[in-house]
Amino acid sequence: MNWTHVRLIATSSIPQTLRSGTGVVYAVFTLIFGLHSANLIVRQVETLGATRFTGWVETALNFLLASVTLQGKTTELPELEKFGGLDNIHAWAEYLLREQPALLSAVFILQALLVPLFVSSGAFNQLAGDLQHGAVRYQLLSTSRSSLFFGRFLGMAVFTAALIVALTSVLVLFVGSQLDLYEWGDLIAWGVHCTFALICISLPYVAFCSWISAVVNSPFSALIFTGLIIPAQPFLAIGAMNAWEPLGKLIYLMPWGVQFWLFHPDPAKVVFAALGCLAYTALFLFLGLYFFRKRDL
Amino acid sequence: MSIETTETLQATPALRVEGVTKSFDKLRALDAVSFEVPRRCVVGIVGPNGAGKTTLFSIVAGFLIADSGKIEILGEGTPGHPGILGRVSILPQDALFDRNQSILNQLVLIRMLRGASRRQARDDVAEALARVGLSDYLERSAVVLSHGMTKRLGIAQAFLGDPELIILDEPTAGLDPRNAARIRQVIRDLSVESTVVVSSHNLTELQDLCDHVVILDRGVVKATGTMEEIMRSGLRRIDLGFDEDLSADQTATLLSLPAVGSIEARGSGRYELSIDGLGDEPVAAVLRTLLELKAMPKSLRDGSSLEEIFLSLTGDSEE
Repeated sequence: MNWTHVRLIATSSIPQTLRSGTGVVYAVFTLIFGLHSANLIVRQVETLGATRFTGWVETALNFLLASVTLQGKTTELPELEKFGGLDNIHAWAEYLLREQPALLSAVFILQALLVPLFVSSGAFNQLAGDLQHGAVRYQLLSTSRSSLFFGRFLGMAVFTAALIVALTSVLVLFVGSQLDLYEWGDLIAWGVHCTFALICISLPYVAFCSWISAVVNSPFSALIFTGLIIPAQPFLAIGAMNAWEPLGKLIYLMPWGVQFWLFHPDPAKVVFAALGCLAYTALFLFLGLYFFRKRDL
Repeated sequence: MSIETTETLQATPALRVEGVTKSFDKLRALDAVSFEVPRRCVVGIVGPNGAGKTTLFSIVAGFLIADSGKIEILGEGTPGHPGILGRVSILPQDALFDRNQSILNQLVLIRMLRGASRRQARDDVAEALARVGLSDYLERSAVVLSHGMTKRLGIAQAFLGDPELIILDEPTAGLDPRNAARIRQVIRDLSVESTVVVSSHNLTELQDLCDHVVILDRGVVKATGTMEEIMRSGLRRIDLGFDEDLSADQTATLLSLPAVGSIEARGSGRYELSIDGLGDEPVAAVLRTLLELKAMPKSLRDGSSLEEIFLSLTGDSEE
């Protein structure tokens, strides 16, 4: 692999993504839905009041965190007296809602759920379209398949990271300006952490899209695959766990079971989750590259 | 029929194909294909539709992976080997350029991947587009180009950076005569420094352009060698037409010529003569004799073409 080629392909793929329309849709979809979801939350605070809202979010957070960390069958979780029996989950939610700006935590946890969906809608066509029309053939005698694959991934990862930075910056400004509940310093510090977390979360999904895009010859098929597999996978795993508990481990086929630890109060767990996301990224890239190098183009 | 080529092939050929086989499900597209391409010449790959030409090119370019066999490019290694990146280019068949980027941006990227700086790449792209008559389209998207112009754009990218081996899959298909002639001249110019492997259904064009030829039929190499070897391998025939049938004496006199192997009457004053020898002299000898016999032909067709040989080798193949 030639890193100069990777950089060249990455930098040329970003404007290519934007001009194709996919990138514009990706950016608009991410920013509009991200801001809209934040607006809904702010409106809830205004309607319910900060105390009632925090209580509502706490229940939702407990349920979400207990589910994705496989702390019990989802059918039994609501009976655990608001998760009082799950001390670790309770402390985690407390940290997000009492020690950090609660509203921003709610917004960013929601984004952590949405980012994989955004990525599947925007990163599906890294190679599939060019494979379908044969455009990659013009580059393949000048560079290696590895450089082409990693260049397209890197371009999309940088584009996604830039989108996330734009989104989180606007969200912090939006929350800070709409509600006079938090210090700007707290908002910015937590915003930076959550931006890092969301970028970490996005990487394995971008890599997953790279994999699918490199083995499927049609952008539409790639979109269907990524758009179905990414959101459906945690529901299938958690649903399967209700039937037979060991099947819950299926959640680790994708980063869903790891990514929320990036918002954990224990820095060691955050580092573990970040490394986990990188490991998923490496795995998906390895699989994508393996099949891309073996296939006929 | 298979003609082994022993002459003129250099020690390290530009391309060496050894026993390459490729199947698509039950269809065997290439069956133990072997040949060598010497450096700095133009080599034509000839074959009917479905002969395996594009499959062969795709394997050489690394788009397809052969089931078995070996390919060595520029003495360095197999397709995709780091040592050949940027030294080989291809005009693929039916590949499209990105409709969402300017032609300039796409070609600059390709040139930069072949090792040029951005400034050098821009200059080279401008020069390459000028060679194929597309200078006015530098900043435009490929979507505005006609089929022929897209073909010329593909050829321009193949020339970028003066690659040592250039593979052109039907480069003049879809081009008007003026542009086809322009492309043929560019190929001739390139062959001074580069090796050009070209496929075409226009056999007259290939006969005029190529130094070497490989005839492929249903995935099998039927003949390979220099153009002269290939031409010599086929039985040369000429068709003559007269107002009336030749007499027995006239036929006997023609048969007595050393250059004439046989004469077949085809009816209504038409005769097919098998001719031994290349060039114009054997045919001139026949015409001189006919002049002496006061039997002036009203038509003459020299069948000593690549097309004749191609048809004789692939006669029962479907077009």
